[in-house]
Amino acid sequence: MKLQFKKIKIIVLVLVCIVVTITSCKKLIEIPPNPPSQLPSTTIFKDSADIMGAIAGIYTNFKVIGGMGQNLLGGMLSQYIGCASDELSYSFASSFQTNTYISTDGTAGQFWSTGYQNIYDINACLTGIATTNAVTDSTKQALLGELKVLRAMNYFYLVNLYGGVPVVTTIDYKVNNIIARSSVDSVYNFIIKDLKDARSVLKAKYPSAGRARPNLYTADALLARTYLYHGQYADAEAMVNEVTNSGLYSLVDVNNVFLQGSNEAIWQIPAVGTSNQTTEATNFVPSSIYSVPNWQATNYLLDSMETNDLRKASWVGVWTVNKVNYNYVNKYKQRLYTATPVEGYVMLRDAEQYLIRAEARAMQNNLSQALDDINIVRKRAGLPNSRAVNQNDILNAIMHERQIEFFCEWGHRWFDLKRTGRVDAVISKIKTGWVPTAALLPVPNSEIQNDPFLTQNPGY
Amino acid sequence: MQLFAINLLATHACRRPASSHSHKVRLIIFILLAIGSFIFQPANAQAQTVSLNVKNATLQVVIKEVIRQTGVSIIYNEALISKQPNVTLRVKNATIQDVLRECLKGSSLSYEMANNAVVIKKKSTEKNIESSFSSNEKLNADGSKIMLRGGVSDSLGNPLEQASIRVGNSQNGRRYVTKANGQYEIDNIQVGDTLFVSYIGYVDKTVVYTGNNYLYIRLSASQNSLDETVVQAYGKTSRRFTVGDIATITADDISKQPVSNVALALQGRIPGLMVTPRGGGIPGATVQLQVRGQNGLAPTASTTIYDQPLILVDGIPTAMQNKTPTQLLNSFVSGTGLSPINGLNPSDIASISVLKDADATSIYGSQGANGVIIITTKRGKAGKTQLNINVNMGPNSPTTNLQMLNTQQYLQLRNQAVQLDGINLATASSGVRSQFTDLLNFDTTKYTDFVKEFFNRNPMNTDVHVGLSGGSGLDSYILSGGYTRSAYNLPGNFADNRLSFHSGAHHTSMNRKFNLDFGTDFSYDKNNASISVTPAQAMALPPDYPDFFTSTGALAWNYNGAPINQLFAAMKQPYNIQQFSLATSIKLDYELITGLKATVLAGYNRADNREYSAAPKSSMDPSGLYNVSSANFSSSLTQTINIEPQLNYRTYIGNGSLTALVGGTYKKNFSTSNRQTGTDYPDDALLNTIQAAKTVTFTDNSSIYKYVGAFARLNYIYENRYIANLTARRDGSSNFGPSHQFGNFGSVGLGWIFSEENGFKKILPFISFGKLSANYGTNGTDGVGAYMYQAFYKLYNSPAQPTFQGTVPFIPNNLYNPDYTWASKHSLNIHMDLGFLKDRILLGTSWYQNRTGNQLTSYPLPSLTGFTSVVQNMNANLQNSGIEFTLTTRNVKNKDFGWTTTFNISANRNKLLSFPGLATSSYASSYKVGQSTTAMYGFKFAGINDTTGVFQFYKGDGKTKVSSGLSYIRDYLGGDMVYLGNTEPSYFGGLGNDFSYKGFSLSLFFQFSSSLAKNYISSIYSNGGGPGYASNYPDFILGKIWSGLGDQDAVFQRPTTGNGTTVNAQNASRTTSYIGQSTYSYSTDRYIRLKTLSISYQFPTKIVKALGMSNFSVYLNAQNVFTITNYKFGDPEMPGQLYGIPTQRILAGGLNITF
Repeated sequence: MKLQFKKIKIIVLVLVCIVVTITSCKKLIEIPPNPPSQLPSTTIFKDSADIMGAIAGIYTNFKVIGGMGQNLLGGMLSQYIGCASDELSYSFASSFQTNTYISTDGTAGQFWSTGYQNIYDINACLTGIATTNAVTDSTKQALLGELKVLRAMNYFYLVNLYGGVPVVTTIDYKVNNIIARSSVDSVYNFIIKDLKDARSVLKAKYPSAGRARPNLYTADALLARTYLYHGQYADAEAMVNEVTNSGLYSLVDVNNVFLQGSNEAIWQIPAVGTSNQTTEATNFVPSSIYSVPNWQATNYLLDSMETNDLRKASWVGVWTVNKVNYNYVNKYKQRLYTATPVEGYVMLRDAEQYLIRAEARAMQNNLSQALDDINIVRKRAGLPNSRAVNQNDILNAIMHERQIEFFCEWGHRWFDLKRTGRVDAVISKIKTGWVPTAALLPVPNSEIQNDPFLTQNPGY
Repeated sequence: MQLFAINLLATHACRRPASSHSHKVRLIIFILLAIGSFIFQPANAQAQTVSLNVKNATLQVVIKEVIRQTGVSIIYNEALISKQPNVTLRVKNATIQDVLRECLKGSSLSYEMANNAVVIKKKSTEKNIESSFSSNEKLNADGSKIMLRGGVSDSLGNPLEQASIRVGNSQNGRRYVTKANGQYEIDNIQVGDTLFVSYIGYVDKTVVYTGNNYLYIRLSASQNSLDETVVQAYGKTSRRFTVGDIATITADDISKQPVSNVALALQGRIPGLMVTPRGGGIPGATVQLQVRGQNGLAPTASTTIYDQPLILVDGIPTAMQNKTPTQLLNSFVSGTGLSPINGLNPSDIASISVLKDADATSIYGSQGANGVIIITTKRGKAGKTQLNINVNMGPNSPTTNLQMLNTQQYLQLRNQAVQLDGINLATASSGVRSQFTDLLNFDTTKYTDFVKEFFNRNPMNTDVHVGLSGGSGLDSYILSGGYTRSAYNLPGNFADNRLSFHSGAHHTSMNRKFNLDFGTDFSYDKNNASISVTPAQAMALPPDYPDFFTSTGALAWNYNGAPINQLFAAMKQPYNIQQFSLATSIKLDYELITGLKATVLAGYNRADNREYSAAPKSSMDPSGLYNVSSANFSSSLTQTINIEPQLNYRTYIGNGSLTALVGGTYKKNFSTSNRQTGTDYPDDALLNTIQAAKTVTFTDNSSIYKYVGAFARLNYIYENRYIANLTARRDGSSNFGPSHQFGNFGSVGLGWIFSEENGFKKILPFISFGKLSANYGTNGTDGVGAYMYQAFYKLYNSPAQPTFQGTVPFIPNNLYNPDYTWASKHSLNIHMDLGFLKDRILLGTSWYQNRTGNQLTSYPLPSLTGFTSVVQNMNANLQNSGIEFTLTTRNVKNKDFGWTTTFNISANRNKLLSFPGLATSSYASSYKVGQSTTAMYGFKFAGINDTTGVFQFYKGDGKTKVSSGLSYIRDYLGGDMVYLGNTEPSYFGGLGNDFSYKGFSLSLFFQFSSSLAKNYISSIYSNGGGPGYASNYPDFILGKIWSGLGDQDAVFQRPTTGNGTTVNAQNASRTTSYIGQSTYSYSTDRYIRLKTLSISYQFPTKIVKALGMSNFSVYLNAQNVFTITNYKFGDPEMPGQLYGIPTQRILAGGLNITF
């Protein structure tokens, strides 16, 4: 019996030893505070250099630098929305070509998902920077203003592609995954508020080299567009005046519009690719002497161009394969990477401001000044003054000018057709099977599955 | 006074008074030893030769010296020996036999070798060893009581440790247990007392005490499969006494199957284990394992929570587990990767145990919820050195072959589609014309059978395995090397080549208290199989497609103005993955006091993966304006350190045996990976270096996981009749947030061997064994990545590290949720084992019900949240319940002929029991309470519209028929989607028959399964778009395509080119995206496949001896021989993958020689 007790004593002792060492010691499962290539969100906004890194991340998302943009703000609008309207055709079967996108269509959903990813990143910075002590108060305000311009830009395209989208302002997924849609009007009001906030703190001077990050006039220019789309014509005109009166911008030679450092650019992100410069050039400029360009300018677009339009000569390329000519979009011409990028990605440009003001003035029946604005743009294109006289003709002339000036650029044509109510008439003429509900893209099916409060657009 | 001894040196340590202090110190020393054991070299095998120089020494001294030098147990009677003449002897490097013969010359003694033991006895004709000790020893002073000493060994003389000895006729008798050296001591014994001796895996023995002072007892190994040793968590058990569910396959089962991945050897053989090869016939591809159903939600999400069983090799978790190494490219054809266990050579494996229920796995705590697979490698056996050579070769071929349309058939279909779509090719736009190169540009009289061109090969497989094993005395070793080449059908060298090296050493100290086991497995696997040509792409080429090579042998890039999709260019772009894996384990144990043993199990495993791919300029269209060559280099390293100190105690309390185990685990798993991409090389010949690239981009990554645990098991077997088994574990994982790291798990198991009840065998004599057992316990899963409980910003790294105006950008990496923790699994298991006719028929039946709650999921989110998922627990309760039957019968067993049958069948039913808030969760559209998680939702197929020829579906009302297109279908659950069925197998299992006649043996193993699965319809329409598109289809579609108005029997809708603009043409191309999600794409997939056929002949001993061998056999093994199925087209084992690489039929003829 004595031996038994001894044995039990030993067992109990060792057992206690093992259990105590192992379970009481959290140290054994301690791991470094962060993985080598990551920084905790809790510390990133405590350091001014890290804050700039987080902001740089947002710009990198906007235009996937060095990548092929399948991104709301990374060239995808130019391709697919160009294809959905009347200016671009794609060699392969595409639901955009036939306007038959469905809710499970990956590309149609990509605008939505990349847009909201951008918005998350912006909201995360807004939240983090609002409470930081790492930067001075004036820098803080300027950064918040800049971020709101970025956010407004995303919402602008989302509301125009999908209609009244949910307005997400926090980074709490428990709030955002049950959010419902807002009305189109309230999305516009949200954009306007962001831009107004921004222009109250932004300065005329660009915060960094070139025009890569928004200044005061970037906010003005985007606000001018938003007012125009929202039917606030006097406000739109006022904003354009702010931009043009700054004296910072001018229309440049058509061949130089998209070059890095172009004086026409109000906002231009530099290209830093390792194998390409801009998504547009990579996609539109043909890659081999045997390959038919995948994306071709439609005859409808080419036929709409006036003879001697410098823009046609410069911005439409001709590619001959097997003695057949193909027309491709040649606004951005640099397909390959160069050590010093030749072209930069133009987000907003001065020519649009004139056409915004022309339309705003025409809508307010200020016809002569509207014509002045149209003619500024036509002059640069080597064209005579517009001969439009009455309001309707002038508005048509503006639409025409916008069609040619902004073809295959940021989906301008599609949005113009929709906001002026012309989309059914124009598209149904050139595409069979057009249905009016195709003017709005379907909300991605997965979004509706994962957010039970989200509703689908009609027709899907 | 000690009169008898087994190995005197052994008796020393255990007699020293035990102090708890010294034991503690020893334990610490062992832990230190284990930590330092990575630089530990196994001691040289003990020499079995003896060198002596003695003059007139007593025999006892000489024998002790022999023991000291050899470690061999020499059993002798001191009284006898003391009466023998002294010895004078001088020998060098003599054998034990020679020395003993010399020593005993002229004595009245002789010796008998019994493998590891030598018995010295009186020269007599008596064969019974026990009787040699029946000498005329005196009783104690009172004439009745005696101290009995002795030993228990197996039939070869190896001492059996912790064998049980019961004194007395009743179950109330006193119990004793043998020490590490097999010794025992029994006091107060009387002549006539009965000793009952038992040991797991051996036949019980009853000895009547006749008054000797020493009793040496040999047990013979049991032939009953109930008593076969089964590897369990931290130890061994037998089917007779376990209350947990453990299924095992042995080296014998593995050797019959010509498979190179050991996971495939488990297919159909383990009830409850689903083995799914992911790459079809691609050698080396991942094999997915699932024990008793899916325990977690979202099995199909891209970021699935890791749900594979825990895989241990010799007790040490493998570094990679069943996670596929990072793949550079979207390669490996079907999108799967190299199997991380492909490095293990099946020929080096002794057994695989699959632990399924709570009793078996709860001791692994948060790691065991998905089952545990314990792989035990082969160990050497002391004795004659044996050289084993096993060589086999043979071809493989696809189990199913597709015949695609020939040019004539193809063109007819295509032209019909053009006509139906109303396309005028002559006037069509250039864009449209570019979609019809097969009709407009190619030579429409040309015909190539591309299936033959790309896949119809019978490449040869080779497997060579050479093993050396042996050892002397208390030490043994094994060394083996293997080379395996698994070939692949594609033209070119795309084989998987594996080199493996296995070694193992065992040492037992001379006092038998200390044991050391050391094993390593090293392998090198190089796989070229993962090139980027997908079979679908190659098979679907229009049969009039132009030649891929020009007359000069160069790659052709265009033909008659049309570009050629150069599939052979991809084959000129090298890709390979090399995996170096190392598994080492060391086990040290030491007997502290009788019955109490301290063990340290420590191991280090690593997997080193290197990948390389390149796109040389020579593989690109020379007319391309921007051709840039590139090369990718990547490597990843994953390492695991695992240390587990343990204490084992065994004793007898009351009428039962008690086994206790306590231990702890420390585990660290860490990995790093990096990738470099070089672009723009000056010369293709420099593609093997990163230095020659003009631009280099790179990424790197790392992760870490730490785990600690303490565990205990208490097992009590009362009167060999009632069994109780308790396990407990507390563990902590670094994968969880600071306040959620620790969890407690445990199980209770009870068993009742009712056939041992008094009188049972009289009433039901044909039932030789009956056990009813039940257990209940908990487990967890922590299968998420590290750090996910914090929000991070990461470097922007896709594909290169860019800067934005000189600033390095960061972007958010994940959402913030610090609160997730283990999913907890509760399982109830009931098991009955019945043996009939002296256990010739064994029937096992299991029923289980597992419920996994607090589901740890990668919860899908709308991208509105910025991300598409977040790791979180869901209050959902998922149940897996099922039954499993196993039947083993020894039908015939006589001298020449033997026949055994094994059969198993299992059926699991998965069901979502509850899910509060399901309707408002992301899972609302994928799960329904009361349904399986493998339930499929989609459209109800409504036949082909007989006027338009287009597929139709029912709307949600179940009545309205629509084709898609402009009358849109609401493609979500509650819209027009309905429940289609679930894809979990209704049942699966295996049937094996093994026959032997003299030297011949024949083994047939059938695997079967029944489930609802994707059929050929989904394949046809998911590849290319369907008949009429510029893509080829199998010829079985002929005569089944809608032919015109009123066609009621068509299987496929009207052909369409996908370029038509009419409503019907558009509808017909649109339906192709719906048909795959409809009832039409699913059908029952029931099959029985002769998985393994093995024939071998073992040459008779006479011939073998004459050839100087100890064993010689020739064999023919075949895998996937034939299949009986209701599944219409394609491979029933790869449903819905008509164009995948089919499962391969593998033949292997070879020979096995042992010298």
